[in-house]
Amino acid sequence: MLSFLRYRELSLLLVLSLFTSSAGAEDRQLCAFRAAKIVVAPGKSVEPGFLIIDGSRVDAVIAASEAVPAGAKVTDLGDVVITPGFVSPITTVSEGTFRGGRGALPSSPAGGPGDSRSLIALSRVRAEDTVHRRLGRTGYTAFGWLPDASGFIAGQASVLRPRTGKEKTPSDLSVKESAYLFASFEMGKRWREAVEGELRKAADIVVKEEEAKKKEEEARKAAAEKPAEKKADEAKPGEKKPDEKKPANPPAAPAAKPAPPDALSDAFRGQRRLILRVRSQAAIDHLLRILDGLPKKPRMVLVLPSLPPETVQKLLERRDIIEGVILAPGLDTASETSVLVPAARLFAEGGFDVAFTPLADSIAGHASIPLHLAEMVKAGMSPGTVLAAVTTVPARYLGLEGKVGSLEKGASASFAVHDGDVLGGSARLLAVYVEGIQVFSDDAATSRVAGEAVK
Amino acid sequence: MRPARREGVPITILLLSAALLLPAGSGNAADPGARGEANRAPAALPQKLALLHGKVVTVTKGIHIGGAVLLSEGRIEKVIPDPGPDFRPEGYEVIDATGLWVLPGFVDLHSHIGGSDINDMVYPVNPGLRVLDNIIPDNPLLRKAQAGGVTTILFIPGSGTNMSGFGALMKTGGKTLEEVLIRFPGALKIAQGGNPERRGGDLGLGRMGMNWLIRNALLEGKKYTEAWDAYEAKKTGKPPEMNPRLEYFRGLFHREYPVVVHTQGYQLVHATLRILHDELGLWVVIDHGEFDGGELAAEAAKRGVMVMNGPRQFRFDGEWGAFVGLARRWYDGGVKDVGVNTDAGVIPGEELFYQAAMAIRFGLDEEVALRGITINGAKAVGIEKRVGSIEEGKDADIVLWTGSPFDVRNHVILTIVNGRTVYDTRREPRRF
Repeated sequence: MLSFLRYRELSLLLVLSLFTSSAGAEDRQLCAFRAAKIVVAPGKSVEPGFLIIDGSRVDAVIAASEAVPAGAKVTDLGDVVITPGFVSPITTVSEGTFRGGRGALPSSPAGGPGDSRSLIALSRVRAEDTVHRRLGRTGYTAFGWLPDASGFIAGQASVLRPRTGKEKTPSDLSVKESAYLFASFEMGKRWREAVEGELRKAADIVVKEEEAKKKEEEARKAAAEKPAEKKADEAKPGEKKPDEKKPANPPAAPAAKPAPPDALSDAFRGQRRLILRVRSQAAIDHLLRILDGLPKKPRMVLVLPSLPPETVQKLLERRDIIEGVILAPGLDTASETSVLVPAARLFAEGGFDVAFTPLADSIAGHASIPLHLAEMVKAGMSPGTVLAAVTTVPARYLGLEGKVGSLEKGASASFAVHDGDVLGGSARLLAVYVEGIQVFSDDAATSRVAGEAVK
Repeated sequence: MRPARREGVPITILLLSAALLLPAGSGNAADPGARGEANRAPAALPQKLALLHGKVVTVTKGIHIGGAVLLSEGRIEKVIPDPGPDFRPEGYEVIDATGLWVLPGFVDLHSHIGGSDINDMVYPVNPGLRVLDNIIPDNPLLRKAQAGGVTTILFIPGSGTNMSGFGALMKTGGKTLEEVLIRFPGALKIAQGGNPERRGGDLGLGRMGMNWLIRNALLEGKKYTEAWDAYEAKKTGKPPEMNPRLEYFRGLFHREYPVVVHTQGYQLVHATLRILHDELGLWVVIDHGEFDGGELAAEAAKRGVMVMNGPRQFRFDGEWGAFVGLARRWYDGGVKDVGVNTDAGVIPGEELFYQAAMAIRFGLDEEVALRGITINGAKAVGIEKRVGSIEEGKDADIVLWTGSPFDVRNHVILTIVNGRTVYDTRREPRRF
């Protein structure tokens, strides 16, 4: 254990906080943090190394033996491990009693209870919320956030980051205003009918659009290939009038009217990701039947419960519609006599991208994630796959690949500092940085944040 | 105001209980055997095992790399720090622990997995109830706990009432009641707030009512104890009438076993210290102790009251904007022998080591955490001479791990309870 180093590390972190907490985006200052190990991305690490940040972005990660750029402020953090901040694909922890997703919104073209496809989660963030500050203390630095995921089309998740104290408006917390559309499929009759109806409508809209576009294209091609034809009523003298019964050239198909903006149809167009939660095996079977009956299928990411191997296999065969999966990390221990292989491992071994949500959608659930990641390694998943499930894979689902969830050049300087291997479960979280600003540091002396709490 | 429910016991139950409590051949209801079983030696077993070449983590006597632990007749016969690579004791079945960690079995002082139904909630206080009548040895949850290295638990009633009955100290391995039982009563279980709130209209919805019910029952028990003490000291001629509802209070007030208290938050922990320890002089163990209960760490330490923190291992302090490690808070405040529990099955019993890992993550020193799931729990309930560390003469409760239990990627290979193998992943599928 590193207790003998703890005070030294933390005093360095305190010194560091004096530098970086005052470093806003406008003060471009190269800072180089030396650590025993820097995990740049799953499967890629440098040990020991320097993480060099330029304001709010990662400038480089280099080996400790290399020279840091001139002028960079160098801080040796000691025997610590730096990882990218974790990324949650879905977090609904919110202040108070948000009820977004219930009831029709005036601007929603679909309307109806439970359909909030026009709702953008960022609109529900309030300046006085403290939840985004708390989440920053857990090691997560980006969340696909929804205030309420309970409606059948719950709305468009926004990617938020923890509060750094530099925000002037709630919008300043946003990394991406609309990341994906979130929907749920349940087995209740009205629910099934509502989802099936909306999926069919959206598929039909897009199919009609494509057909109209195709006809337009064909007409344009045809017009370009043939010479201009004489009009029927302009026959020269002496020429027989064309048979009046002969139909004139059919009029060109009218240009397709663009459909009103609709996040669900966008998913069928491939312009927006659809993340669909399915809670039971029966629901999965039913959903697949519905999708197979659609003239066009969206590509989607599924949020799944714990599943038996045969259902996992069924889904592995549907790469045509399933882009990836989101699961909570957990050992399936239904049997008293054996440890079942968890679904996450089967999906990963089958070639699907797997992202993890915290086991419980709460502050505590986010803070406890390392324990459950360690469990998944224990269950046989590779450390790289497990780490990817909370970094690069959810970053991709949020449309922020290369921007969050890794420490590649140009990525957000959002990272966590641990006193050991984060996949061991007991490594202490020493500090968290969001876009180069320290939002959390562990104070060994009093177990409280040193200095002023971040507002 | 509705009158409090009369707490009487029908005569048939009194007679039946008296018959059950009287040991065979004894005509004296005040015999120690009538109040419960004293510490029982484990049943003698023929297995002689030698665990060789592992990293022996004794907890109390250092770490021996490549050490040897010899088990015989259900006890730790010998611990040899440096036996050498060629050591082969004659007459022992050898288990090669090369590359493995050899630890004592863990002790969980807040567990509900020893048997069945843990709450009878008709009355708000139930000192006559006992889990002894509920124990199911070798049940599936105990078998899972073995896979997490837990070998001793305090099986207690739930927190559905303010005083839910008497718990038992027992092993997780063993096929019969006699094999598993360490001591009954293990402890009295009191819950001071939260779960036991009476919402049916009778007394005990609020803290005043709940604490009154607890005090009242204990004072009644104290009076009963004093009456029997006076009789036994020949200060009175006639024995008091034996009351099975109050009988176990006698051992409690004689400090033969403690009261373990489901208590958390400053207010309730303060009431625990003030009423149970200061006023009534009981041997007190704080279970849970979460939220801001740790603010009273110095007070608990001053009184020698031990704390088994959990299952929450942290809370978010809104004022400071930080997570506070709760076990660490107790430790920093002066409770140096802090422990950790699971409240199994709230947290599965096999995850006791996860609890310790979380405590470490939130600031507790690793060595303290290890003591917190071994010797500290044993000490808290007075069985430290039997379990909680690898020392000669103690029970042969040993667990082999693939590595440090605080790297939760590691797992148990072998669990031995009372010298008998109860879980062996070399021969059976892993349970955890």
